[in-house]
Amino acid sequence: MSTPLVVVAKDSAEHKRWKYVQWMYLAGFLILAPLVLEPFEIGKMNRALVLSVAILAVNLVVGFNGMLALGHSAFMGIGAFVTASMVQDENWDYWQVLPVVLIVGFIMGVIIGLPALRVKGLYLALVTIAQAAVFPTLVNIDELGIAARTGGPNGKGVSEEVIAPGFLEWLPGVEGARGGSAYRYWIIVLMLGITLLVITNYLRSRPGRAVLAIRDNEAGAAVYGVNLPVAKTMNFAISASLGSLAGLMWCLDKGFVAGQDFTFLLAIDLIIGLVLGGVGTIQGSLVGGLFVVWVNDLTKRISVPLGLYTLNGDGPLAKAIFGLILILFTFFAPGGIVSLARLVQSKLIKVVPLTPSGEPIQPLDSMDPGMESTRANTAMKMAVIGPVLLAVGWLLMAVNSLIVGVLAFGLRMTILMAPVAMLVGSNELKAHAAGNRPDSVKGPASMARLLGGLGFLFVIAYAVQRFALNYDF
Amino acid sequence: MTEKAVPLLEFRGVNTHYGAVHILKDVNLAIYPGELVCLLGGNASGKSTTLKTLLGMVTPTTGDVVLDGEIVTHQSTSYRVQRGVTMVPENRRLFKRLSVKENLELGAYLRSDRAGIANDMERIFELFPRVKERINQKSGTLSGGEQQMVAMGRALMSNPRVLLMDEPSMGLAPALVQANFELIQQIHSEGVAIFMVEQNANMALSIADRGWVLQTGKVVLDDDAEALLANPDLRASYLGEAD
Repeated sequence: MSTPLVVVAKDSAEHKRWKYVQWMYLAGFLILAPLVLEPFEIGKMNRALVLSVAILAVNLVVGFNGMLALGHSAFMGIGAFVTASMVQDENWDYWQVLPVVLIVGFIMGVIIGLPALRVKGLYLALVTIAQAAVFPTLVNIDELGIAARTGGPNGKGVSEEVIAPGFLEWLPGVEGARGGSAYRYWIIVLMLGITLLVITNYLRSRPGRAVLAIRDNEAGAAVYGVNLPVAKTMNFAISASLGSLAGLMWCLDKGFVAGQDFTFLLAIDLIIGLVLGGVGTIQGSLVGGLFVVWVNDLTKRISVPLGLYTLNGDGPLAKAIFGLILILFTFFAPGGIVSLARLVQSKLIKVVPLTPSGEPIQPLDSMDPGMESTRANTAMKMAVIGPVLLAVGWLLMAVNSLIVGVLAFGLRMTILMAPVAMLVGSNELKAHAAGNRPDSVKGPASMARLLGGLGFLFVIAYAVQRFALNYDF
Repeated sequence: MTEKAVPLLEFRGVNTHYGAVHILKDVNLAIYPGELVCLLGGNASGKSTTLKTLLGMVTPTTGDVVLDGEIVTHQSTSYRVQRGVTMVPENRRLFKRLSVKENLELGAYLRSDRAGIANDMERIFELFPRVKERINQKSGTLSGGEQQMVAMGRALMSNPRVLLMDEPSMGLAPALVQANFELIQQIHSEGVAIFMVEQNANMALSIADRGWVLQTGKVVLDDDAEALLANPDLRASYLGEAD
């Protein structure tokens, strides 16, 4: 597909419509996850989203400020232990602990950041590695009542359970067997959402801009009056505060914290997530958390029979397979998953920027010379693939129940492609009615719109059904 | 030239050291409001150290930096920027991953008068229409000449009284160097004093009012631009003309 499927002018009505489609995909993903996943899988999802917050914290320092700090597992640990101790020993509520954790994290960030940020590059990396390495042993110290608070080597459990209050039971997945983890999922999604909003705005604010300027050019930033030590330390402290928040979320989700959860291995996971998600992008942090947890999980499910030997993902080669996947990713998506996704997106949608006077810098039609019908055809094919797979699945199911997988795949394809096919089909028909497209477009375009529309209805029906299954009416 | 006026920026017997190495040796400079002056010198003559000392990135061991009559020797860079000094750094040093607009806004980092900032942005668009065309583009993707315009625009956004320019013609195509000096004159004609550090002595002196020549940390020549251009010593060492 060398021609983009859609060419739109930036900020035009059609561009906005495509943005809505993207938001709908995200919303659909968020709502379906607690409905479709098994309870233990929701737990993994929670862990992934908590890691996303922690990776965003690392990103703030490494990706947006260009400082190589690797010790954020320690900040997570601080947040987690403060939470566990306050909730278990002092009978506080989680929401009461929240401001305390943010402030403690911030202060720890200033304390560690002030001396650490005087050094740069690999030296800063070394200092922060030491911070991560030392943390798990610090929680075992008997003096000052530390071990009593942290539970020492045994870890600390929180007996208070997080249960959905009555007025929130309508949340998808919250009622029933998966209730507990699904409710925690929604709390975590909410906190993650707020975090993403706050950090996005922070980076657009004056102090945030200064942080970005320091990354791109320290001397340049200083020349325009940015106070380098203050800007760096504040950013590091905000990042530490965010890391502690991730610790609170960790404790809230698992109800148990121990020193060995926050070793340097966790710090490495955060760095892997950061690099593979996309350094210096907000979305990259989100994707990175999902990647670290789910690719690890999927690796364990691999089972390839090789004659006498079966290669098992959870056997002795598990880490090697995970490593291989990492290497492949660094080769084929060197800018992380976000840059790969942007590449794919640019093949699908071409957004033409505007000149200051509001005109597209190039006429939209010049983007796809003579390819009008190809676009409708592609949309039609997309709309057909899903239903065809579904039909094949139904037929095969009569013969062999193992083919359920094909059915499920067809369903997913329908869900993914229906809105796109419907929109492209509609646009092409509109263009045809206006006399901008040849007659050959009409057939494929109406087909794409019809199948896309059916698929879309099917998605809604499916969602309603899933919803209804979880409730007693 | 209003020689009687209080200098905007002044070096009074400045000595600087990097460790044991003596860089600037008893340097006296004075820049008056609305002047265009240039500092010439070969490699390792102390040109960059002079700029860093003016901006407060290097503190002199003895002597004073005076800004509009106030001794600012021990004040921070941001204090001096607020009082009206800023620099267009060597090689432009844009924030490459930020858009042109974000670069300009960072120039106004210490200002909080929204109306004034918007006004200055418009003034820069009038000065450099090209910058307005590229306003939403990542600055790293601009051509060298466009980057130079953004760098100058960014410096003007801090509403400076003195603009320091570190080797403005470095890294530009020869054809652009001339255009670049015309831009500098244009900015100067708006009333901003300009202190330019250059290796391209001929070009710099052709637009400057006065100039200094720095040699191994000492000011060896201090004269009007025309006199400097005619000086046989300077012609021999910088303009490559042997008698």
